[in-house]
Amino acid sequence: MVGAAIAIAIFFTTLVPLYLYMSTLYNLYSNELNYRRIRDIDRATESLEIVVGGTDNQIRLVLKNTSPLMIRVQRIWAMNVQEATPIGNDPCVQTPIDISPGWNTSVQVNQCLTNFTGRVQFIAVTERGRLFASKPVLVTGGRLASGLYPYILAVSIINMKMGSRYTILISPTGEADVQPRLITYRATARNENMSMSFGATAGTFMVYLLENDELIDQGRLIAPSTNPVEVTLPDYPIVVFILRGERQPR
Amino acid sequence: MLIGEAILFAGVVTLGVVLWGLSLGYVSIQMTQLSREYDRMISQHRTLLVIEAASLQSNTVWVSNPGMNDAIVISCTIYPKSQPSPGIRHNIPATRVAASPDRFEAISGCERYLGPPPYIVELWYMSAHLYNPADPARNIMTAQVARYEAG
Repeated sequence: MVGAAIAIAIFFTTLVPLYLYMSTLYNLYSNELNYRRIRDIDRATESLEIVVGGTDNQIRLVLKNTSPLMIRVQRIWAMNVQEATPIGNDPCVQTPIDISPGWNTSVQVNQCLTNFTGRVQFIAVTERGRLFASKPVLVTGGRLASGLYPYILAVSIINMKMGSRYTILISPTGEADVQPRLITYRATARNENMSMSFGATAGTFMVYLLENDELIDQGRLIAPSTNPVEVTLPDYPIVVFILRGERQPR
Repeated sequence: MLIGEAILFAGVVTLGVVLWGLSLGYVSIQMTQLSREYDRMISQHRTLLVIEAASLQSNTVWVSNPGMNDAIVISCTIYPKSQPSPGIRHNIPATRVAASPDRFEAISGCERYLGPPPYIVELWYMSAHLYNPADPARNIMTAQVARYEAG
């Protein structure tokens, strides 16, 4: 009788608590697994598109949240693709950015690329620990190369004089810009024609035509009516100088 | 007769108490071992390290910890993707990374292996409260890995 009582006491004071303890631990572990699974699913569901764009003086990132979750971007790194290293050895943007599902936001990133030339890739790190990268873009002198000169200014010269040196000089006004600003060419045949293209921003430009370093006067020009010619991009992207032709020797 | 019953009773009680004590001891040891094992498993699920950026010029890696436990980084290697992983190298001083997405840590002096790009940056880390600097072998048993492709 006493032995049975002791056996029951041992059962209720050791094995039952052990069983309860094991059950509690297992519940805790299951909860933790569930929590981790939810976090992993959330992480996998995050989707962010990064598009690099900008104007002449600004480079902006457009962050598009294409997931059904709110995304908090903790940091944005600007990576030098050539050297595989972060530009400035620090994040480009360190202020958290919240983006609601389906929304987008833009961030200015000029400050990280001052005078930088090379290929840059932007990497956004989210609060949940995902990394999203933009496509690499070419930056020249801290400006977006593809956005530097979005327009083409074409200049043609008709009926050049053999042996003469012709110079096209383009002078932008205001904030307009063009590259190159000057091109020189020596004609190697009678009544030679040539066309040249210049990368330019929107704006107004004065286009000069010089022959042997002197401005061609109106008497040598059939068209246009003035030299220099004022053109405004993107409305008038072509200038054609038609010179009076040389007579062919008999 | 009465004395005999008393002795028998005392013997049973003594044996019972001894058995009870042994059972309690066994259960306590089991509970402690279970607690350690579950602590290790749960800690592994609560620890997460992210490699945010790496510099192949200075062999520096920037990491953050969006998990729920502080992490200790015990190994950092940069090796060509065409080569197998060198594994855990214990090649840097143990570095604590706080569990906060707001913060990041720079880990410098990663071991670099020569070879053609691209490279894999490989960090081995573990939950900070499981880390025992005197027992590297046990640390390895609970270590987790984070990788990042660079170059």
